[in-house]
Amino acid sequence: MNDLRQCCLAAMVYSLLLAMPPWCQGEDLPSAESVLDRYVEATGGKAAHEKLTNRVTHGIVQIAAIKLSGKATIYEAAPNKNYTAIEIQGLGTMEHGCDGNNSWERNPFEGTRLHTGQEKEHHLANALFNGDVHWRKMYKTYKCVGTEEVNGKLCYKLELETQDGSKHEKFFEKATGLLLLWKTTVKTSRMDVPTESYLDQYRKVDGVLVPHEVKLKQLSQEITITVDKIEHNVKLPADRFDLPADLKKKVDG
Amino acid sequence: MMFVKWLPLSVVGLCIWLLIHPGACLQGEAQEPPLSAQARAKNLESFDFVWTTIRDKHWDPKLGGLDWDKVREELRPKMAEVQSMSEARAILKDMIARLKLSHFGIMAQEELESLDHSSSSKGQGSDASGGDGDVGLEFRILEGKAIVTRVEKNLPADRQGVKMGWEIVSIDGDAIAPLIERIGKSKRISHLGYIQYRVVANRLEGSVGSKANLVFRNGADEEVKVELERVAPRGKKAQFGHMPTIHVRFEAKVLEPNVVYASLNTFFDPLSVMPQLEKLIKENQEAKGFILDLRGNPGGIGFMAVGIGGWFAQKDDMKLGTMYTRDGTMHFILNPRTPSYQGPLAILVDAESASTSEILAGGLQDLGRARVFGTTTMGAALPSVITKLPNGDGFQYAFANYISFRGAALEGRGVIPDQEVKLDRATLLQGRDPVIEAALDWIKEQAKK
Repeated sequence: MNDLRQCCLAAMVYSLLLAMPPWCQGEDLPSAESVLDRYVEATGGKAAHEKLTNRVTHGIVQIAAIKLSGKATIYEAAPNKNYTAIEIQGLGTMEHGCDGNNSWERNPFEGTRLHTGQEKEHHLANALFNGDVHWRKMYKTYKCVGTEEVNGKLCYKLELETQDGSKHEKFFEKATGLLLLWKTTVKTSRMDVPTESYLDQYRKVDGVLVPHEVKLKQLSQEITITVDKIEHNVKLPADRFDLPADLKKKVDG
Repeated sequence: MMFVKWLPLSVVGLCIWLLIHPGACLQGEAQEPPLSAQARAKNLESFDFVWTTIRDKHWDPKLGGLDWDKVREELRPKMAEVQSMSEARAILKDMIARLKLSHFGIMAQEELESLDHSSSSKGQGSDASGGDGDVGLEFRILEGKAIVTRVEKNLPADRQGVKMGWEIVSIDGDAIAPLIERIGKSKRISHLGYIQYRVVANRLEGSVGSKANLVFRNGADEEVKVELERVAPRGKKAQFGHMPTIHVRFEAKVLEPNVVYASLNTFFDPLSVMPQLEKLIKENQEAKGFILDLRGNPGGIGFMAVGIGGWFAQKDDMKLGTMYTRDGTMHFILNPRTPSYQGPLAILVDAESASTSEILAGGLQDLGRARVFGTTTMGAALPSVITKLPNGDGFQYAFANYISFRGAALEGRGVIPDQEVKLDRATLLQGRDPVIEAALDWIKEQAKK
């Protein structure tokens, strides 16, 4: 804390340094590139990641504070397809998908809805399979701006911007190189939802380290996703990522 | 493993928001034993939880100018001294009452734990308040009296010959009109009309199989004594998080001349309600009009308003209103369904219509998509959630403000009908519902145009 105060004082005195975040003063920060590359290595290395062409994740979604839970199944495939189904007791199944060209969602309240505008751009920009390995394709700007503690662990803080202009902050643990916190804003047609994702319980599956617990803080709620099982390179049905029939009809015109 | 960026959790987040008036699920408190030291500590923890939650999650960081630290300084020492759970709850209620807002409430642990209390889990007898046994009648407070507004066919009240328009004079010896009058004189309670309604409703409720002794005043102004056995409540049983068991009734029929009438008593059980509505809309595309009766509906899952509105949307980007949280601004945009119903839409509301009912009725009214009939709604429309406190009690808190499409806050104001139609005893005694009649007349006029 004293160091920080001294840094702030120095920043006040030496106006030339005002443009720099105070916590950077005197710190020898690595480049963003090296932090991002180190994360790939820490989670198994590029070669191990690139052996994977698709992934199926099974887990549980819990909103403990209000006693709701559900089952989540997530399909991802290269280069940029995904489909998620979350079944919540009393609410039904919330689905989301991206076939590489279009993204959509379906729920018992609204039926199906094709994403358009910034919502579509946002989902397409974030759909890249193994995006962490191919981070150079995902991010158009990236910089390491300092260090911060996340749950008592010292992390490098990176500020990144994806191709659609979305801003992200990622916190990689200094000791292990692992990603512990990701702050971003999920864009929907209704609102931009500020979201904090805390990643924990990294375990090796098929040669790569994967977090098995993610705590999301968004919309005044804490949602926990606990991963039960992860499968890679699974034979998926050919239509797994197809749009729902009514949306396909709409898109095909 | 970066799936978190596109999980449909924002939709899940939306769906869990409750827009239901707390009183709809709160019932009377029973006597409890003195507190142990551990229980007192838990109450202090609960106090801190409630205080901190409101400080951190209320949509207005300044809490409307309320000195929240001062509230804590004043009330926390009192919480440290409480001798019973009733006293502890009174302090928590006092704290949240300082906000002067709906959707903040404390639910007793016994009630929270009796989520499956629809069976005869409570004792038999006329004092079995708090159960959900149903005598088969609905009532409203009209000019200081509890007047029967609906009698369900083949249920106890109907079988005993109770009629619309009859006045409930007493329940189990408690005279009702003086009770209503006494509450009406209170200067420190908000939503007085709703409280008057609830105190009568609480007396009618009880465990299944228990009996209520009622005295009615019939159409000839004669007193009629009736013993009504409470039976299993109507509707589909639904469970949602910390909410007590809810019985959802979606009822639909076609009135002459080819006008669809649908009523919904609460916004829960979307898996059953939404497909029923879809079927109704698809089968009645040629109907001359649609009447959606939300009278007495206290709300429920807020996102159902968006889902139901989508079946009446006429174009893209129709917005019911906007919700403001500390995290940002959320627009309640309708997703037009295919085929949506395009004909005249009448929505019926009354002083017991709250929350999600107000968002749906107020939003469609603002959009010019619906004409609203009845009386001004409760004015309690804040998105909230219910969570469990360290002492076991439930805590409902609002975390967002809601502004309807044209810019009016529904909280404290309610939805003002386009056509005010009040129920009156004389009309009810004739077996007529003047609110439905007004809606039908309007639909007939629209058909002529």
